[in-house]
Amino acid sequence: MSRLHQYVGGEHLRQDAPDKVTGEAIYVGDMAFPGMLWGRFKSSPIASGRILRIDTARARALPGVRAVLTGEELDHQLGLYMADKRILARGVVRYQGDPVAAVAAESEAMASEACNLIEVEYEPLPAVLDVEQAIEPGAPLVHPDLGSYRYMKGVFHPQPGSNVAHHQKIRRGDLEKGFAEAHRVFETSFWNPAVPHVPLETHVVIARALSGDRVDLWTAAQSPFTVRHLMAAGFGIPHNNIRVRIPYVGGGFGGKAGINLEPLATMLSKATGGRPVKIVATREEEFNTLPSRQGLKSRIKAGVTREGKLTALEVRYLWDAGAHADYGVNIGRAAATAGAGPYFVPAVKVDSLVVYTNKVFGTAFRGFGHLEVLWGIERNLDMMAHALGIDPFEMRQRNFLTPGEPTITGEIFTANHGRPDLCLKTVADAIGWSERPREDHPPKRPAPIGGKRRGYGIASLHKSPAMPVYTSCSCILKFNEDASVNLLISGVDYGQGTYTALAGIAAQELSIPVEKVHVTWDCDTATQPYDWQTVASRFAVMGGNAVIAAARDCLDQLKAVAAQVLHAPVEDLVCENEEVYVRKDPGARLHYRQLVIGYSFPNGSSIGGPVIGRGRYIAQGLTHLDPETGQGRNALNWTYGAHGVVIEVDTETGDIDVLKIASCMDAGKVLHLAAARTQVEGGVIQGLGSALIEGFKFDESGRLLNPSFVDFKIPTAKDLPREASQHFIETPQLDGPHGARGIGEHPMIAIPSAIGNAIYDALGIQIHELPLNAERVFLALKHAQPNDAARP
Amino acid sequence: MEHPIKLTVNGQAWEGSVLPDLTLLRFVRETLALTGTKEGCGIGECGACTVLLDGRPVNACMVLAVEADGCALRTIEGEAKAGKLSRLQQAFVAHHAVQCGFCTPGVIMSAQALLERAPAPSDEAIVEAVAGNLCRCTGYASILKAVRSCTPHGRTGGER
Amino acid sequence: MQSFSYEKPGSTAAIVARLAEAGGTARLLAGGTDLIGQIRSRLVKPSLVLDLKGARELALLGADASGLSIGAAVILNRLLEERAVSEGPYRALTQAVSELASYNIRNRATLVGNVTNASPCADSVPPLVVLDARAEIAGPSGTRELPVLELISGVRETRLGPGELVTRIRVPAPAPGTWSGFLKRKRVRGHDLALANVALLRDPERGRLRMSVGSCNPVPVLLDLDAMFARPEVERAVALALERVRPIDDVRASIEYRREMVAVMVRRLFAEAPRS
Ligand SMILES: Cc1cc2nc3c(=O)[nH]c(=O)nc-3n(C[C@H](O)[C@H](O)[C@H](O)COP(=O)(O)OP(=O)(O)OC[C@H]3O[C@@H](n4cnc5c(N)ncnc54)[C@H](O)[C@@H]3O)c2cc1C
Ligand code: FES
Ligand code: FES
Repeated sequence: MSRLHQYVGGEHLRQDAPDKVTGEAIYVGDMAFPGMLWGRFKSSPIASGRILRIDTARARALPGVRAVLTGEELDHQLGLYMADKRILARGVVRYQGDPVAAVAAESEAMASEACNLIEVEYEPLPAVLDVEQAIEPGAPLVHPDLGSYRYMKGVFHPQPGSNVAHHQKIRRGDLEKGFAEAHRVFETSFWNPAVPHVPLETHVVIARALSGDRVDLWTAAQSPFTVRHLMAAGFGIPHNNIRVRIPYVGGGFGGKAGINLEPLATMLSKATGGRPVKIVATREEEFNTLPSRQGLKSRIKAGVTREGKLTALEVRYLWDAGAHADYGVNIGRAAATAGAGPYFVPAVKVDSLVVYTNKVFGTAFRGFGHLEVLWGIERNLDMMAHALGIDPFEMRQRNFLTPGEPTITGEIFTANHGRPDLCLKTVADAIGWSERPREDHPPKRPAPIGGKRRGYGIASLHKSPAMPVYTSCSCILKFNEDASVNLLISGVDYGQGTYTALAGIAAQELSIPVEKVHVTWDCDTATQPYDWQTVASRFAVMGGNAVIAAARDCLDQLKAVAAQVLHAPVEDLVCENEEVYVRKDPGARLHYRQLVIGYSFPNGSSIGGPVIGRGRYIAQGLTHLDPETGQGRNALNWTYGAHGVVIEVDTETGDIDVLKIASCMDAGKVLHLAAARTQVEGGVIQGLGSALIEGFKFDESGRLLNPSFVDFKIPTAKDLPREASQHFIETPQLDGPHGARGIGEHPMIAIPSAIGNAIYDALGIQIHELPLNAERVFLALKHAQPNDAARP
Repeated sequence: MEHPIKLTVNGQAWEGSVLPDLTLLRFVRETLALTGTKEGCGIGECGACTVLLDGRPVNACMVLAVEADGCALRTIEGEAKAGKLSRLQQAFVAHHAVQCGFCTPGVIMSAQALLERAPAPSDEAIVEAVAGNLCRCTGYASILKAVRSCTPHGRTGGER
Repeated sequence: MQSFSYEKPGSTAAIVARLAEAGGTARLLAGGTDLIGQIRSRLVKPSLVLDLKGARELALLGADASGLSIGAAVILNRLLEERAVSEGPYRALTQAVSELASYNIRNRATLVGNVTNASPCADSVPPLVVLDARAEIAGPSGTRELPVLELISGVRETRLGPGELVTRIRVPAPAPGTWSGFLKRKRVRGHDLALANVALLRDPERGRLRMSVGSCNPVPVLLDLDAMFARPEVERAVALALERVRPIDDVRASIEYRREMVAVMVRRLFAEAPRS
């Protein structure tokens, strides 16, 4: 008999969709409060300089201006992992876009006008824009005071007196021996530019600074409790004094993790005696001032046997953190642990340096450094395969981690970790890898210019959530009179579909229709239970476990009361289809409705009371990484996956037409099929953006050249692959809810690598830089021609 | 100087006056308090602000409110009638074509206008109609499916 | 946005009168897709914005045997919707229009606005140039006409005098058998400005072969290739084009790539054009 109310793996509708298709969904930008003022800030036009003078007199004199602030008035040093950021620049500016002064005024126009009237005089200082130059001795220091900053000790290792905010080391095995045993050693390097997240909703916040050091915030942020915690730490006030509310959020992708404009809005509010202050970042500010994905330079040295087995790997990752590395340090740490790919490597040395430069700073971005790292690793693997005459598919199969082998941080891979091999095989089959044309693919010499050429590419990926060892999550389920429930949890669903999946888990556990589970979308730290952060694809796993625990708690409460009413032992009771009945006597049953707010006997006497379930989950068995060797257990779980692509390159223009993309993730268990599929669809296109289109460009003085949609392009509906397929493998995660793992970030991670590999298959040229836009591809092919320069 | 203007907003008459530098987007969001229409860039590039002016989808951030004088203005708030979602809105729900939802009102207005001017649009026409609306979440596939499902061939064709 | 006053005169004559009175501080508003952005970014600071959509005659779109007459208030999508235009012998123009911005922007943007905005990358200009289009100009001293190419004098500069506006663009009907084509290179397949764009026209009746290249020089370049009409020499045409274009290195593309793409587009248009 098929059971009722089975939702895990199903396709029930998203609860937020009706609000969003009607325009009824309220985002922070849609909110207004009586007496609300508009905040705006003025930012630095230069990448590095000393602030000689800020004259705010004309701004203050403007009618309607209620407050003007500069860095001199703000003493707070902010940060989660590395407190290297001020609310407004003080003394020096560190990037073009660095906010130097701010205004609160009665209207947005007045606030803008006031910002224009603020005069700032700078003495330009030498800017350091390149990571390699930044680590040279004698390079200008972006943070001369690095040694005095607060940071998370034991986890990060800043090097005061340099531009290195964190140095993550991973050491395992005998490197010398590994290289000595190699049949060949390959050395190469790769580069990724910084890429912004581009949520359609820019950062926006409303703050009220209330009496007694209390703060009310409404913000478009990913993580209510982290906002609260960072505000508490930054301002030195109790957590409970801060109330953070997060309504619908218009996309985050990591860019709304941590805090951004919240402290500034708060200080502006405070300066106006507590009037609500709203700041909405313009799209230009979103690019210029708010954080993006870090750039990366990778240098890889790899030893392989004649058969293509890796013997040793030595990698240096230089992360271009930009002017602040609060989050960047954690990316440099986490991505390093995945920095060899999903392979067994006997000897490894990874040095991952998070380096300050005078550019807009980096933060978490869907994939958390893994797209960047795998751009090098997965491209290099293909290069070695071709050099050795081994099929790239085969080369990977020979090197994948197999049960019993250690990862580079010493975690033992088990059969329950997932199936990188099957993911790769799935995508290879989906694109017809084994039947691909071999004749002249890849060509021995760079393909001649003329006509179109096809190429096939594959790449593997893996990622674990990057989070502190103590990361936890909690959930409350409260029943209503009609036996519907409210699900309270604090992992903001800004579109990923997590809440929809969690509603399904709750409904299935409670055996009620999913329509009766109402996830409370607006998050409020005053009423919702604690959660760490909505990042790292960890939420489905940890939130799912918390929901299951809360549901079971509810069932226990229902049964306890039912046992008294039905005169049956609790162990004999079954909860099914909104009813509790006695297993041996199914006629003895009670509807949940009779129990959820308390049961009344016919004579009126009542027992029980409102049923409120509580569930929690904490990451277990995680350890800090050893500072010298990087050995330890930092992965809650690993999600493996792969991408396969078929492309057609126009050799005369460099245009790439993506004919097919197949993606496969080992999801453990697909909690919600439609949510999973659409997450992959969206992630793949975002990955294509990184692969083909997106990247910040700076001029030699450090000015951002493409800070608007005119020149920063993202994929449109015309820029899609002709065919995209999504596949899932389900190797249950032992401690995952129903065996599930996170898949939120993974769909974009290896897209650039697969495309880069396909370009080689098509053209016989290796490109080491992203994005693979038409210009880069064409010029690379042109300059690889034997008779280059013969053309115009 | 304020200019008196008269228009219909989702079928209802509106009369009032506006400053010349007020964009139609601001007018809709602030004066009319119809916040379903979003701002994603303010320079005509993203389509989050799409509304219909006399049936044509336009980027409200690139239109002045005074220019709407005498026009029929439609916003996302007018699409559901008496609490019932339009067919296209239902299709967006059914096809999971919504993630963060910030682009959704604009996309729906662009697509709705297409379905009204060409009840049986080709796939190419659907793409052309929504390509001015950026979406960072969905990768567009589910959006295109939802719109297609509202065309005669989409209805018979079912899922891909 | 910088504040300004707004007027919507009811006739061309009234617009001319107000333009002349206001001197240089007035700006014409057609679709506003360039102007509103320019005001917001303080590139222009008009004290008066004159909406030309109040003048009925400017909204007229004429298409007959003599050619097209496109009023200053005619939006770009109308050119694609009007069969006499989209199916008429103006292929390069309609191709350019259908690749200009996004569908929704084209519901406001006008052809005349695209020309008068005088951006080097304006997509409609190379096709208009090869099609011999002329701008009809109204001003305090009556009306006059200028070839489109002569109207544009530099980056965002035109030869319009004080108080003058373009009332319509006339595109003469090409001789029977005329073929024209347009190509544009951009960074995405979605809406984007051109890195370079090229229009080619081949008129067998008059033995004309004309090419115009945009987005490379301050003003699009016109190449008269009539001499090779009988025996087109592609590589010579490429060389002539490359001799004339002076693209810049910028965020959109390098000089090298722009030049290469001009060459590719010229070759492709030549390959596409009928032989006889
Ligand atoms: C998102 C976006 C994408 C775009 N993509 C493209 C593209 O791909 N290719 C391209 O070429 N352009 C593009 N544009 C630019 C713009 O849309 C076009 O140039 C458009 O055709 C301008 O017409 P308009 O009616 O909107 O002009 P307006 O903005 O109204 O006017 C433009 C200028 O011309 C002046 N003017 C207007 N009418 C007259 C007249 N009759 N006489 C004299 N002067 C006049 C105005 O004062 C103003 O200076 C894009 C714009 C946006 C916002
Ligand atoms: S806000 Fe109007 S197009 Fe982006
Ligand atoms: S759903 Fe988020 S931008 Fe489209």
